[in-house]
Amino acid sequence: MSLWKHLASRFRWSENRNIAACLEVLPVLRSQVHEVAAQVEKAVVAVCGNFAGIAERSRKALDKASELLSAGEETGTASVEQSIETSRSTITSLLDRLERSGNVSAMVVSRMEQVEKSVSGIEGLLGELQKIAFSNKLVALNAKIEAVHVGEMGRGFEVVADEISRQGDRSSELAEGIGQRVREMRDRINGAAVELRAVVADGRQSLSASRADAEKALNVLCTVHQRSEESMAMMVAENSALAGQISEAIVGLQFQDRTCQRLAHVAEVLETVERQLARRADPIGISSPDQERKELMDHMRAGYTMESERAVHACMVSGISQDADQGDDIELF
Amino acid sequence: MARTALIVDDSSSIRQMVAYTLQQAGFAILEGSNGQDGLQKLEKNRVEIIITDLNMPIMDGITFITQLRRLPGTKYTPVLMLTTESQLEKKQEGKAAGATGWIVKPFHPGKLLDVIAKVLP
Repeated sequence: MSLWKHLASRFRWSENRNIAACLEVLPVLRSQVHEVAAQVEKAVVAVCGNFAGIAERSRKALDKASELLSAGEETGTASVEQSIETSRSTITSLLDRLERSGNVSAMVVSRMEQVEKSVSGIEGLLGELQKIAFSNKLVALNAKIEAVHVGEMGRGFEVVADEISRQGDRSSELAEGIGQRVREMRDRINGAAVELRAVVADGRQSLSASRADAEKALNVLCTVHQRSEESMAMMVAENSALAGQISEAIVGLQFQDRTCQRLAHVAEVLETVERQLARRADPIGISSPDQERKELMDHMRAGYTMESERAVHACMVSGISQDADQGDDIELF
Repeated sequence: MARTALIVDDSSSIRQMVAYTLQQAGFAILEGSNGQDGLQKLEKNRVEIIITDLNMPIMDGITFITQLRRLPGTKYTPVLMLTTESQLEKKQEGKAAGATGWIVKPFHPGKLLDVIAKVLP
């Protein structure tokens, strides 16, 4: 049954007795329809606001993470990646320098060992000098004995022998003194070489451990940085998916606009029905049923803004289902 | 400096959805709830694009476009009609009034941005 026939039959049945009651009910119905539309719109506005908030927060988090990872690139200072590489280069250079210092120390130890050998050689030579001094002393003693044998004639020769003996003693004392200094020097060199050798050995061990530790720390940093970049790429993809889902949600939420428009059109028709009923209550302004029907139908058709509304109306009037052909959804003039 | 878009629609939810979509593309947004409100916004602001509904109280979209085309500042500004209406006669009215394009609701954000990119100078 068409809408008009339905309304007409109801009006005939209750025409005089219920008009007043209908006139009371219709404004309430219209208010209800407007209220529903307003509440739906309010809810959708809140949902949209939340979507916008989610998208904004997501974008800000992404920007912050991106800023952190590319820190320095925009300001001209080093990025994390560059900083890791610079640290690697600096540490490697530092460790190489320490290794070269260790090698120099080892060379110094080697030179000290050579000096020690040379000092030992000097000690040998001093021993030879002492032997010569002793021999000279023996020669002087023999010469003195021979000088005593020749008596007064050998007096001068005896003086020479004494002098040679004193020179021998002096040479022996000097050789002993030099020997003592050389031994002291050898002991000091030896002590320093022992200490330096220990330092070199310790340094090599520490250097090797430091190189391994530094390499390990830098590898950890590289791994962390790589994972951060992977997380970042994932966040970008997730953010993009979120934006896509929000877009789809926006399309879906527009049902509210269409629903509200249709409710507004229903409310307008209710208002027209209300006016017609009011006219019936007043015998002077009464219209014929056909005139009222035409007026109501024309008003309803004029109020439609969607093809789906027109299709539903046509279906209800003719009883034949019709497709709501919207045509192109985008057209540029 | 961000480009500015004027969104005119009596539905606050549609204004919000269009505003969200355009803000993602870097636009600054001005809003009006009907044609008259939109004209008042245009008096004080320069905009690069206008998106308007057709059926609105106080002043509808067709009248709004007709009047804004008389203003020197918006004579050549792209104006997109965003409406649930898809009747050919209405589209022709919109075209005659000076609309640049016609988009039937519900709109897809990506497609809306594509159309805007096409009509912007």
